[in-house]
Amino acid sequence: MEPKHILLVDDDTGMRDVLRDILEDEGFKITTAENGKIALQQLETQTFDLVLTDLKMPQMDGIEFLECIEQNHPEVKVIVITAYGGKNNYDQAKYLGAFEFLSKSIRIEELKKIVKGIISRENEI
Amino acid sequence: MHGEKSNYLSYPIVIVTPDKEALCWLAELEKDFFFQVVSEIKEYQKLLTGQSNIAAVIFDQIDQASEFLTLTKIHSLRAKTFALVLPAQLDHLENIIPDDLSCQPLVKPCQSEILRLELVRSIEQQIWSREQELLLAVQRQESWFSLIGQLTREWAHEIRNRAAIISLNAEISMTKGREQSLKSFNLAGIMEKIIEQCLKISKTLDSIRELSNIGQSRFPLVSLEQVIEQVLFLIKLEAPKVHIQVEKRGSVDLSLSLGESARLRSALLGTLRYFGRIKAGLSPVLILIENQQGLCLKICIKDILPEAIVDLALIDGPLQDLLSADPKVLDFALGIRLLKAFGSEVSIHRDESGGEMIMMVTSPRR
Repeated sequence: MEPKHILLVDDDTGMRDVLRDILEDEGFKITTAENGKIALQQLETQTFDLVLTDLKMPQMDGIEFLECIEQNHPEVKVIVITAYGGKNNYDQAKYLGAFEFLSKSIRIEELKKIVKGIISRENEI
Repeated sequence: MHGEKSNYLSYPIVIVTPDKEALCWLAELEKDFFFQVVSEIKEYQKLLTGQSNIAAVIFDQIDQASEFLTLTKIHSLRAKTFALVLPAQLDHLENIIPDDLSCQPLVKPCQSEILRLELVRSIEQQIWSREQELLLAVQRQESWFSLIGQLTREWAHEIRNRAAIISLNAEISMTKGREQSLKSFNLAGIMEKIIEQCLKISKTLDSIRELSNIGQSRFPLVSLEQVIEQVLFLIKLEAPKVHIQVEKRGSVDLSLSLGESARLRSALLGTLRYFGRIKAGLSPVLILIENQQGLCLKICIKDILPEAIVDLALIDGPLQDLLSADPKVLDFALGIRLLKAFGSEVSIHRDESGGEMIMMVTSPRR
């Protein structure tokens, strides 16, 4: 069985590395992108089961990225993971179809549980 | 402007004359202006030290015009200068007054009405300039705070990011260690990542410190008097009829940092706005006392209405309750919360016998 494919979008190398380590350890296939613009290019050429994205990024931030996903890839499930969310961003992300809005201070087990839970939800969109 | 001398008290007019009797024709004007009379140039020089708000200088020793005007120029006074002359001296004035020093001649005693108009114009100009300066200072501080706010937000984000990476890496180490699968697990690599993130946090903290130093040098310590002046100015813009009396007890010479001055300003504004709305025409008295505990600011307001006393329990209570309170209470209470959050002690009570409200704010010395 093919491993589930996750696109990890964050401008911070340290954060990309650690999240990749955690999720690869769970058997997921991970592709990374450092901003929304590069992530959109990846979405055009590959198929993903989930996108895990930061909000605050250069060139194209998370909200703009979510808008593009909603318009061009509505079938893709998205989790937002951010250092500081704020209610506005939360509302906007939810409005744009994000499944979850997580803090980067999350514990690993909780993160794994949420990612697995969302990926296992079939045809929910 | 007639009969509004109190408005002009802060803008004295200096009269330099060796002969006070010679200026008796100005007695009529004394009702409207605050005159400070000195008899000679040395006395004038002494008076100028530390005085920046002199609105006008009148002198009648025309033979010393050059010295008077140069002295005025050296002290960078914006004061308008007048020379009292006799009709016969008018023709020679050009020879006496240097080209680069301006001075308006007034023929005594017949031009006292012109003098009155000129003084009014001069004082109004000074008040306008002073208000513009204060407004500019307030705006500059506000824009600086806005910038600090933005940067603080960025740095908070940055530190939170690093802390999250450290936490996640530490958790990985812990889990792997517990699973005893250390053979396939690169502990040194993880530790290196943690150290790298700690160093990045340290760099961010350096930037914060650097900005704090820049802020301190760009906006050096503000004196308490300046803060009070700004507050009075802002209140005057909002409520021109409220007259606030400021009293100093003892020697109050406390310098405040930018942050402290902003907090104090915010709390004072909140308080005065609040009471100003409760009852128009109040005349609050601000008493500044410096004692061993630090700076003590006592605000006394007479004939206060019972509803003007805000319940301190509300100020200290949950923010949610406060947010649903009357907006004017909210404005006031937030100012008080701010002061308390930064270590000031605040008490509010009503003197039952005299119907006076007394608010005490004590800020500890740094």
